[in-house]
Amino acid sequence: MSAGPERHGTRLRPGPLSFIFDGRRYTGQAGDTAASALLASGVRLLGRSVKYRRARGLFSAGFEEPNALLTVGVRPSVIPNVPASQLVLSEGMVLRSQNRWPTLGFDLASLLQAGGGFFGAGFYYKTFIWPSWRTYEPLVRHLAGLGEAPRACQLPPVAIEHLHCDVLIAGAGPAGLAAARAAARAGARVVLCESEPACGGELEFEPGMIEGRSAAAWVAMTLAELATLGARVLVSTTVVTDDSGEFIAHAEPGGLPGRNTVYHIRPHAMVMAAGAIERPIVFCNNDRPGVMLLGAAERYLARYGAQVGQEAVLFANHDRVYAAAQRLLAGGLRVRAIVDTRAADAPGTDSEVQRLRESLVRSGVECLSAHAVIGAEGGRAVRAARIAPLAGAGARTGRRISCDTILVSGGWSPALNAGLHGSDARRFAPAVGAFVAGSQTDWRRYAGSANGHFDLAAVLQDGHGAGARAAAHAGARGSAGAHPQGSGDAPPRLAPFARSPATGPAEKRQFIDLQNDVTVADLRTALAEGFIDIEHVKRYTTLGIGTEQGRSSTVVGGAILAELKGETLAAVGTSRSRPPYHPVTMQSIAGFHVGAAVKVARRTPLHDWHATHGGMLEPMGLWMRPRYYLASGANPFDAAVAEARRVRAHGGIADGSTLGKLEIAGPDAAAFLDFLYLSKASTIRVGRSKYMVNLREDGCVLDDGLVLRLAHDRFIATTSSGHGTHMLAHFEYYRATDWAGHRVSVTDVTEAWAAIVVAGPHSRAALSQVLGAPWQGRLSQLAHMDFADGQFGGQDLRVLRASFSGELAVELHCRPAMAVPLWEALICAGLEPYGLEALDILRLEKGYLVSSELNGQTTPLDLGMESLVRQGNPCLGRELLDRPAFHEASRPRLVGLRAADGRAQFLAGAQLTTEAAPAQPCGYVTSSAYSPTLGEWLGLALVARDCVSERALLTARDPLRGSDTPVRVVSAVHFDPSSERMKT
Amino acid sequence: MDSSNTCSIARGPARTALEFSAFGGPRPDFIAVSWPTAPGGVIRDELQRPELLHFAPDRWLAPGPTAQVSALLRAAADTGAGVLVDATGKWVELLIAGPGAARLLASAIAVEAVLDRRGCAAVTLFDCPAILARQNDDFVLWVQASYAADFIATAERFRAMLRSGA
Repeated sequence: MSAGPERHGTRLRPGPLSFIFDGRRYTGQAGDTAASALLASGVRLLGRSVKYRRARGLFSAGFEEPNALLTVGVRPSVIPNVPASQLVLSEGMVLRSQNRWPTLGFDLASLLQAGGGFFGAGFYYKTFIWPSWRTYEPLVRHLAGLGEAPRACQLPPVAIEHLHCDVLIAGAGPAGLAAARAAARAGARVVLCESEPACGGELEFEPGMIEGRSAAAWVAMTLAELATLGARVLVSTTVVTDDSGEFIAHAEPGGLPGRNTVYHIRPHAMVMAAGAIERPIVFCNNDRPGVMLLGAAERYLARYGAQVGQEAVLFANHDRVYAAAQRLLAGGLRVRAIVDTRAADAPGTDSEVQRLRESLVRSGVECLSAHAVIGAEGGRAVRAARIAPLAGAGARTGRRISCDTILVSGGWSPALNAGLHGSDARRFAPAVGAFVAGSQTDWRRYAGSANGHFDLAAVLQDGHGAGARAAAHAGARGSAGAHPQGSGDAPPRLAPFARSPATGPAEKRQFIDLQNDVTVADLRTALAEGFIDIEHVKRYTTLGIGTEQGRSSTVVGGAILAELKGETLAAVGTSRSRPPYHPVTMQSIAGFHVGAAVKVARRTPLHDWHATHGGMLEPMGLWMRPRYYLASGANPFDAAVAEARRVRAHGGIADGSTLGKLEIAGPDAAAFLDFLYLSKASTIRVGRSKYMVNLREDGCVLDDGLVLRLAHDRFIATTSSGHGTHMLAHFEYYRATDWAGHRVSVTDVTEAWAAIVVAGPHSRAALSQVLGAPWQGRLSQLAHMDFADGQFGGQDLRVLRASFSGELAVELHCRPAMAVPLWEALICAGLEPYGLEALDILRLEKGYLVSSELNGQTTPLDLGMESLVRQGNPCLGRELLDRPAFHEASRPRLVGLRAADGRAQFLAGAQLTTEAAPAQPCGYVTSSAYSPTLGEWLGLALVARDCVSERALLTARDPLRGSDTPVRVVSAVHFDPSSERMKT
Repeated sequence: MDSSNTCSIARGPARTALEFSAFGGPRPDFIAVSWPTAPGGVIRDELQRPELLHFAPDRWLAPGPTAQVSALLRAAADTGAGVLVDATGKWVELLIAGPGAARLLASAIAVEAVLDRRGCAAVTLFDCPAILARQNDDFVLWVQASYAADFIATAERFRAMLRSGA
């Protein structure tokens, strides 16, 4: 369908483009938004409301659009809820209206509106109860929500930029531009964000003179000067929230997610000059397609040459309606009447406005004072406006003026939202009929309409002053120069008017929040049911929620609530909006944390070897670790059993590089470690290592590992893989606080040393073969827990004889560059790799802690470490171990478990109960595995001490996995209790 | 393609790395004029490559130390003022060069502000711990080795995006 002859507007370019809306092809013009092209094509019906499915058309020209939300793209790759007013068309774009079935013109669910109050305030608390919510759930789910979530949508990754600047200015209207120029002239580094694709704000369509030039020329000149001064101007970029001085600005060129940039801006000072949002006046059926904001009609005309209708009635409560009417008239719109709620003799109406009125009357425009539009007639489009005097005869019924458009303006609400997210103060300004910025900090100021200024001269002066002060606060010492002088439309001189008179039933058709179908009747219901605070009313009625976040409805809603309560708007206030100020995609929030980068992963020097040799790498904490190797078996169970069996029978190697390694050095290092560990490090001889346990301040076990003494003043402390970063912070905290001034340092050397575990009866022979003659004698001399330093391949090598498998084993600590050669040499020597699953089996067989036993709640006494406690080292947390609570009979105790029948499987997480109290858990299984060595399932468990006795019979209850397994308490050490194998 | 946003990411050679940690308290005598005395200070060679970086309070990194720097550090350790640790393998050196280098790093941090008044900084870039410094018009950074693969993958993604003019 053709859009007609070529149009002219500030944002249009020559050349047609075609697009599809609801399956029908239309022609627009380059630069058109979906809204302007559809308007130019005569399309009025653009969507349906979310609750009553009432026909809806365009309401605004900005991102406050509540009605005309479109779905862009073809299923399954769709982007829902894109405001038609912001969406810049591209050739072939496919658009679809929302909230309708089967078609926009005929929507079955729209029959619901015949039910009237069925979906009134709080309906979801009162209905769908009988016989059960489940009865209604499918239908409600089908109807609920805005648009359709994409099933598959591959948007390009979002770009991110972190910026510092002296002054950040949000909004490039007259106030923002004046502020930016003043700040930049003073020498400040300026970033200016404008949510529209072009700067200028209202100056784009309101005529005005600034510094002797047309407003448009002044905007162009100012932007050129800003460029010269090095200011950065970001268009199509909205400051959406702030967090303690870091502002997030979101760029969405063309109004369509896909090429977004998220700016993290940290300024020294901030100027909020985001302008104001025009607010409607509420009347009966004020949601019909054709009822629009007055400013929107001006924008569509100026920017896109698009008429919003043929014949219009203008409805307002201020002087500016007359200047707007004249511009619209000149643009070709037939203005049937101007309905002004104020009396003709209202004080303050100046001669210029009188002259305008007279001119309009001469042009055939009926100008009515002290009147209101009390209703709109029509279904899918406005057919007429019903007008009535606000007092006297005819006030209830009114008369009819045929038209296809009703343009409404109830004043402007300053856009304070982004500031409100930071809890800035606001105050009610009676002259504006809305809230403006209250007290302002030195570093964050408001300018222009946010301060209640709507006269161009005052706006420019205010903006200039804010920019100059912000620059000074940021440390710029130059001169901002004189503020720009300008003149434009007369001040609005509005008389607050929120809604037209209506009868009770008609209040059900007086829509306050168009996006959520909240009516005056809903507010009345909320009040009647005891919801009197504006925040409660918001939540009960859904006033001001959703993508629009109440931009056009909260002030009007507050004013009507005030009327219903018999209070003032100042007393009632408005609800606070939530960040982000402007809807942003989840992808923008996620930033670079998408796909494979959703969480950073740490890799060992052997990572690539594992990946290319069938290692099934999985994230364990931040580390990527091989769970098992495909060569050992096709599934984790078979592979792990085969690998564990192989280690016990022959030997194997495992990648232990993920172990945290902290080098603690200095004359006070030993004493420092004595403080941090349950047993003493100072008694370790050089060349020896010791298994040690850290306590938290409250006496619970924090971590365990080996401590190696490299020299009298130098140690390596190993930590568990998942705790490395935390343990570094723990050590550093005490070094910097309790041990401040002592001569000890902590250095993280985790990545400086790869670690290869070599375990099994043939490990020594394999090592001798790999390390060669220089090491053969030393290897045989190494006692359990000894280590030796030397060289391999010309690089550092540390050989530590320690075992976490119960087998004869060593850990080889080498520089990362040697890890792969050493690993491959060991494989050539006949050892095969084993993964984490097998490692856990080996640990469990030996009764070593696997991981779940260190749950942050267990003490050394719970874990059977009495021998360490008895050493009496007065370490961190030791004193609290003597708390009586830690010795009660209900405290857990680490025990071993086996199935009572010697065959059954039981899994970690199962609750344990006694026969005497089958409904009262006395503990739970912390780890379990099938032991290929013993041929049965083994487990470790934490069980209340009063339930623990050797051979006690318990039941492992696992309702989630559907099993109750009788188990028997046994020693935690299932295999080789005398440790002969590893000490041989 | 936007040439102003092009840059390269190159891995530096694996070199010896030494970390020196001074014990806290009063400034020790070893802090001679030749040492960077405030966090952020850097000693550079004649090609402006960082030789000794004071990346955090009481902490210095010497990537690929020359004999002179090694001797300096060992002498300081011998005075008992601090501890020298061989951290070879801990850091992976990356050079980010070209007109788009600053913009690439700005995807992770406000790099111009961070290095405004200091030669180096210990930072977290794309969730990866790193030490960042200028090297002539380019940037050199040392990323903790276990994070290096992820860092490079994420940086390459942004590099491609910026190159395409997104």
